[in-house]
Parts: sequence; structure tokens; C-alpha cells
Amino acid sequence: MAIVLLRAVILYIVITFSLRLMGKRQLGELQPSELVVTILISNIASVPVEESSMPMIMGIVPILTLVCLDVIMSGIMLKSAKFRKLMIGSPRIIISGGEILQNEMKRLRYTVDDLFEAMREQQIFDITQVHYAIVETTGKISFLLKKDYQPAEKQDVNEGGSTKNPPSVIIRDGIVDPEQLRLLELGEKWLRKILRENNVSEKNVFLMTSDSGGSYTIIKKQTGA
Amino acid sequence: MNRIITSIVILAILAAGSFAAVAEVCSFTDRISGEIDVIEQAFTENDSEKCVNAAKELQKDWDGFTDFSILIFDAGQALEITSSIAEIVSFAEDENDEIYASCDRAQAQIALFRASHTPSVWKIL
Repeated sequence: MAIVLLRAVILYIVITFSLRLMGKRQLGELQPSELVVTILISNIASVPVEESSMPMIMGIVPILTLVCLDVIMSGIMLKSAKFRKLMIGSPRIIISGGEILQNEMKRLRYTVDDLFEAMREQQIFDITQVHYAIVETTGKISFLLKKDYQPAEKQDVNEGGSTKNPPSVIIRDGIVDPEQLRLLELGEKWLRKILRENNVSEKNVFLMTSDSGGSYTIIKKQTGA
Repeated sequence: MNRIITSIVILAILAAGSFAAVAEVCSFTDRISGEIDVIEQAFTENDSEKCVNAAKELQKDWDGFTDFSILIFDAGQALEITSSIAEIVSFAEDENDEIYASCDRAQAQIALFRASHTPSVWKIL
């Protein structure tokens, strides 16, 4: 009995340390690899607690190995956009300009029921109000309402016009996303011009977003970051 | 960045520890196996003093190994070998022919112990 108690205490400390090592991301929305690690840890941790003939180390070694691999993978994903895309995929647009992209929904195996459920969770009850919807890498769907259905802001007063797609990320951590540039129909030439105007090279850009109208935001890299 | 470095260090320590444990098991089981051969040889040559001394040495070595190995290896497997070695000591002191069977059993158990801790493609898969 005492052995089980002490083992449970030790494993509690090891798992708490492991989750701390994985960082705060683990406590929020889970990426696929993080979900796998979390499920495996919970299974592995229970075995040495139940089996007193099995050495504790048989539980601790795989837990630490999984957590360390996950942290190292996160580090590689931080540096390589290609690797990040391979491991966690990329967000997918399922409604654009108010039109449901049915092929994309089929590809993602999302049903209309899933879409409506996600809408209701965000207090949207009418599909015709949605201008844009994107499935995040965590599986969560984010919605942008049409202009008429968005809550009014001060800048909306006396302003007409139609709803634009939300800005997309075109440079992340110094790396240009040519796919986004193509989707926004802006082109490489436009990007070079903007970077020149702002006196910054793409390598020194931490984040650059733009919408299809060419309205952009640039956040430069901080020195030492 | 600190987390990544910590993870790499922990992973390196775990890998080094795991492979060091495999190397230790291989060298120790080789030694123990050799000691059992010496016991059998001494018994065959009717050198009972050498046989008893070698059996006690074997028991001492194995007990020393299990003191720390219980932290790493399956206790059940180690206990089986402990029991066979205790039999060898007892039969050596009594000059009993059953010692051959005990030695063979201990050799087989040690070979199994070694095999179960040595990684191979088949075992990994």
C-alpha cells in the first residue's frame, strides 16, 4: 500500500514537471502531436502505479522521452515552416465570400452538422450571416460575419463598402508564404515594393499580414528574439 | 530555448543511461556465466573447496548486482536467478550431483535475462 502511495506521489511530480516542460500551450488547445503525448502519458503513468513489481523507471523513462521529443519537435517547428505544416497541417478555409467550399469540407471530413454546431457555439444561427470560416489546425472553426451582421464600431459610422476577407499572414518569422500571396492576388512585386517602402528586408520581418485590398501590417523582429 | 536545451540534455542522459545499462547487463551476465562454468568444472574435478568458494563468490556477485538492478529491471526475473544461485551454493556444500541441473537452469535464466534486456529489431517491433 505504502509503495503504491509513494509511487503515485513520485509520478505526480514527474508528470507535473513534464507538463511544465511542455509549456502553457499544452494546457490550452491541443495540436495532434500534443494530444498523442497527453494520451500516452496518462496510460504509461498508470502502469507502474498498479504493478509494484515493475520498476518506477519503466514509467518515468517513456514519459520523459515523449515529453522531451515533443519539446524538441516544437523547437524544430518553430524554425521550419515546412516541418510545422507537415506535423500540424495548416488552417483551411471552408467558407469564403459567403460561399461554402464543399470540396474542402469533404476533404476535411466536416459535415454540415459539424459546421452548424461550431456556428451555434459562437452564437451564430444563420449560415447566410457568415462571410468567411476557417478550420484551425486544432480543429476549431473561426468565423467572420458579413459586415451587416458585425457589431458596429466607431469607424463603421458613415462608412459603406462590402466585407473583405480577413488579413492573411504573408511573412512569418522571416519566411514568405507564396501561397497566401497568390490567394490575395498581390504578387511578389507588390511585396518587394512594400518592404522597400518600410525599409525592411523579409528576413527581419517577424509578422506581416495583408488583406486582398493591400492593407498591411508589418511587425519587425526584435533584436535578440 | 531553455526548454529545448533541457529536453535535449534529458534525452541524452536517458539514452546514455539506457545503453550503459545494456552494456552492464551484457558484461555482468558474461562474468556470472563464466563463474557458473568454473563451479561445474570444479565439481567435476571433485575439488569441493574450490567449488564451494566459487559458488559463494557467485552468490555475492549476484546479490551485489541485484542491490541496484532492482531499480531498473523486473524484480520477478531477478528473483528466479537468485533462487537458482542459492540452490547451486547449497548443492556445492552438500556435494550433490543436482548441482549440474541447477547450473544449467541458472545459465538458461541468465541467458533469458540478458536477451530480455538487449534491444533487437524483433523485440522493438
